[in-house]
Amino acid sequence: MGAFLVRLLFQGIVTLLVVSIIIFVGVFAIGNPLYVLVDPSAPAEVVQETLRQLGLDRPLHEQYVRFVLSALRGDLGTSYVHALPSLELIASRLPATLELVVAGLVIAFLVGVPLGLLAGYMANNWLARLISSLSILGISLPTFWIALIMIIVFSLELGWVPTGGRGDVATVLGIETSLLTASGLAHMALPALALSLFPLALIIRLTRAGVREHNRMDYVKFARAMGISPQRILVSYVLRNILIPIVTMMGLIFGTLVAFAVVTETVFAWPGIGKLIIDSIKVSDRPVIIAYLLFVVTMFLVISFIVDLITAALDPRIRLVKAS
Amino acid sequence: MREDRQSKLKHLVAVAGLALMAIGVIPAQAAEITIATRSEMTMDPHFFWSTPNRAYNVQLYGSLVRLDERIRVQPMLAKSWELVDETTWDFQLDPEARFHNGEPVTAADVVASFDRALNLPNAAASYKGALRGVTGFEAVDQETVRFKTAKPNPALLHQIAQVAIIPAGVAGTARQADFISGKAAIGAGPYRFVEFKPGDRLVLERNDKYFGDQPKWDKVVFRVISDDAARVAALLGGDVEVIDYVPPVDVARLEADPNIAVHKGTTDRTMYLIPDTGRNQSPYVLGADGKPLVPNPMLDFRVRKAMAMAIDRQALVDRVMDGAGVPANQNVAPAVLGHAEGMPPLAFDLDQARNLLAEAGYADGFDLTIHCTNDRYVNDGRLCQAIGQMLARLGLRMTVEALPKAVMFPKIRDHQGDRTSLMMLSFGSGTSGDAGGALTHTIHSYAPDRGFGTWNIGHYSNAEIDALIEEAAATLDAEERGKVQSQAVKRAIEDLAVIPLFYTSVIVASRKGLEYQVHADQSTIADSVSKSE
Repeated sequence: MGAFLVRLLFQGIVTLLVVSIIIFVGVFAIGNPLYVLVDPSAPAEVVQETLRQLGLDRPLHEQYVRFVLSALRGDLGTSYVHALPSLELIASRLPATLELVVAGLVIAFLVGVPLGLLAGYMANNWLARLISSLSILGISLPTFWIALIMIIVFSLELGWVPTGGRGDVATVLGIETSLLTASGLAHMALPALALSLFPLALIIRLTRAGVREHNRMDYVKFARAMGISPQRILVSYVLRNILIPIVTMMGLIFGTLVAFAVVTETVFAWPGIGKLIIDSIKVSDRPVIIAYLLFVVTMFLVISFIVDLITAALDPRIRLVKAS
Repeated sequence: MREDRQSKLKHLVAVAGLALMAIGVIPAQAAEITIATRSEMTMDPHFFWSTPNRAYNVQLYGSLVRLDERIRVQPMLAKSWELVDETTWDFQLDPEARFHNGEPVTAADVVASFDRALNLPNAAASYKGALRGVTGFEAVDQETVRFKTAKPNPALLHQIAQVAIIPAGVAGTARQADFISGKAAIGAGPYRFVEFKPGDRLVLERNDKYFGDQPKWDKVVFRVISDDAARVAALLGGDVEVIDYVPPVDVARLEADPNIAVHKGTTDRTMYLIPDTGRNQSPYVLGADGKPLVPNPMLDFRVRKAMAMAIDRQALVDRVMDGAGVPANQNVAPAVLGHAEGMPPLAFDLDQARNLLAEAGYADGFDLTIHCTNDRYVNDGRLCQAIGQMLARLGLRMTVEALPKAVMFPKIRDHQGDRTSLMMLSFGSGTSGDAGGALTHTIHSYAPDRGFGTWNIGHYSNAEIDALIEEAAATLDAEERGKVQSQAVKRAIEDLAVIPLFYTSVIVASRKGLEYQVHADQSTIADSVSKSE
């Protein structure tokens, strides 16, 4: 376990360094961010002076070294727009995104696994076919389109839920959450549902494929021969085995959704980090862009670590050292 | 019978009771308004200078003078001002003006606020940019502030309208986070801070002790919804009462909706094309052989004239902008001082345009790239395509290059670099209040050391027009200044220094029963919303 952690840490640092260089070169290539931010009537000498103050007039390598040095002290720069340290900014928007993603994944898991079991178990039934066709639709339809249709149907026509925004939040242990207020839940329903569709479809297909594969395996045949009821075989034996790839997949999906819930958050005006990054890119808010991308890389490193741990718990045969 | 009468009586009493309740309820009902806005606020009032921020600041913090819906200067914290000499201005503070914490607004607070606006570290879009030519400010006495300018400076009032005033104590100590939490969000504006949720909402409440016109609403919620479709949906769904920056494509639909009212007006902005008239060889002008075309054809007035004539402005406005705009015959909008009256419209005549092009020796056309932003102005990407097609019909071999502003602006602002050969841009006059901004920045020859021509992307240069612009910039009398400016505008357009397209529109939509007074600089102001009579 110790060696595993050290290796992981080392990998993480190297990855971060490489990614930070790539980001830095990319952002540098776009050019002077101030020309996008500053009101057009600001005199050139003021822009030049600000450029000097912010160190943006230095050569690329010098800016990078400066960035790394202050990053080591935990300072990833201050947002040009929001007047806040970029890490603090990301941290303040993260809870909104996290709860949306968790809600979406819970929906996907709770609905997807039973449907997938059903579709896999009764492979040639009309219901099973319907479920798999719908799951294909869920994978292939673009999120923003589904989101807009949902707004038109559920908000504008039926008037059941608001069109967007976060609504009231309650504070638990210093973290704001929409899950504990009626208004919060109503605001969250559509975006969480929209976000859940893609993972839902994936989980259905993974579960279905898993069930069909395992149903042909010897241990299932033996269990059947022993007279164990089909339901029990499905839930206690097959499900447990096929959960491993599903959990791995969900870990990756979780990361992807957190990092790139951009579309859903924009359409539903959800104040999470997806909306933050898209707005920051639009106005060249360089410190936020860099901090955000580094945050995403770190998050994926942590997620893959956690997934390894969970997989090990689900299947004692997997050893962490080998898994790395 | 008796019973019957009794029940009638009961009924009457009940009705009267209901009526009484209704009467009682109406005055007690809080006047609350929710406005969905495209732009998020920077809570620290001195950190990020932009027009949307100024609009928020003036409602919460207040400034010495404010700009009204036609960008004219109105008194606010300063009730009057006078010129001591050509470069010295004295402002008398309103003795009634109070901060939200009850303390009077003094000259020391004003000086501290301007100090902070000029010197706040790490401010990428510093207010320094707004205060060019202001050399000093000091408190003469408790209620008088004196401003000094380097030269006679007619734009001073518009410049100081940009800067929010906060108590000196706050200005000296507050950190940016304190403004976000609301601890330091103390000003003297008509509304007080209640709550700010970054990326989501800003909530304000009525400042009962406001010294000026009484605020119209008890509570104002600004919801930040940057996505156009989401903003429109929020209005249609009744989640918000007012939305700003309505996409023109949705106007027809909103107008047809019986629950929605649409409010339109013209802005201080003009969309126009900038031809490269400064270089003998322009990087995106090629001959039929694919080699750079020398000399650059756009140096020839006839070619620029042909291009201007090949553009059907009414079609641009009607089809691409869905009616949101007015064809322009110059680069300064009608609402702005310095707009040249009586200029002829720019005619659309493709045949004559082709003749002109042939006369100039380019009957076979040439290769030309038009550059535009695709995320800065309403429909800019589509406009670029349409203009490209119109110029292609003239006989030019067009390439259309629409780029994000984050890529485009650094490219064109690098005056030593390639810039563009033909580009579409828009310029507003909100920060100068007259044609001065557009003239000094976009028409005057590029002279960085003197601060002229920073947005003169085509490097147009005409000494006589430069002289007019500089004369206007030093003329304090508004009427006189407007005359000189309109002279300069007329000369520049007659020479097609830039090719005007159209004046842009501001479109705000609300629920039926609400009125909105649109602002030419597209500020979104709560007190501009009122209940219909």
